[in-house]
Amino acid sequence: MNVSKVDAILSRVQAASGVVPALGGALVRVSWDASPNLEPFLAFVTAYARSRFSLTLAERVTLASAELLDNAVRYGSLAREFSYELASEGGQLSVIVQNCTVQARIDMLTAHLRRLDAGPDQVYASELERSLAPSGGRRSMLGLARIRHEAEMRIELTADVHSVKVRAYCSR
Amino acid sequence: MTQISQIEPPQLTSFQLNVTAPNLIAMAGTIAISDPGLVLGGCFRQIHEAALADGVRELVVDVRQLTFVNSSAIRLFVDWSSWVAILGARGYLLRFRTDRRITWQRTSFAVLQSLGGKSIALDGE
Repeated sequence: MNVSKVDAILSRVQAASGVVPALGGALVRVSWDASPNLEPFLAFVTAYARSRFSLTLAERVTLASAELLDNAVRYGSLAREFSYELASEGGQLSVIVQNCTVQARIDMLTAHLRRLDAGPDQVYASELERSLAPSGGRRSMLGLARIRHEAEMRIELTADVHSVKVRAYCSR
Repeated sequence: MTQISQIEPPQLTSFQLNVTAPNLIAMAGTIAISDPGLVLGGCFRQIHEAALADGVRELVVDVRQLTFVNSSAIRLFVDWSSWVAILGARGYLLRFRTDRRITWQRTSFAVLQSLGGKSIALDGE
């Protein structure tokens, strides 16, 4: 997809969801104050990434964007404030999603990321198996496991009392 | 007329599903909607039950043109694999036709095959 076509899609996404043209290291920066419609936004991210990166890198960006945003929408607090950033800085490409949440969720994410770092392959397989359980409550863990194992991106988390910022990153 | 030929594919903008009797299902596009189970879960189950009613020995699900799915959609394939795994010899062989160049297919279906045992087969190009 060429850049002008991406720009046309961006215009439509801007109109629909409030995308703010990015500055500095950020390539795309978006914030929402209500639950976003992810499908058109992800279509834009996919087209944008394909127009600027290799197919493999674009695939990784799409996966990280989809899973982090889905987690934010699904498990964020009722405050419903989200932000998304795709950034390129210092040879690294980052997908960053921030949302309001509660401390218990932050603690759970921290513990899960520790497990993921120790053995991404094993955690991915066990999360896939766990998703057979009737409760879908662990799907977010499958999403993070996919980012780590499938997209081969590292994940770091920063949090304060009311919000969490999850960054998935890899070399360009 | 077979049961499988009467399946009505869901109408989604970014996802296409085609049924070719007696035993071929082809999927294309992407699945990135938040809760794909609501739209596609019932359809997958219908296909499974139609395959059983038709008595097919093997059902081929071609996902090579399905370029991206979110983790909620992967769960649908996990469910399907578990349905045939539970039936064992009373069911059918679920054969996924995959493209190994597409990362999600390469990683997910290898694990699905290990979960589903002899009920799941993979063709990877």
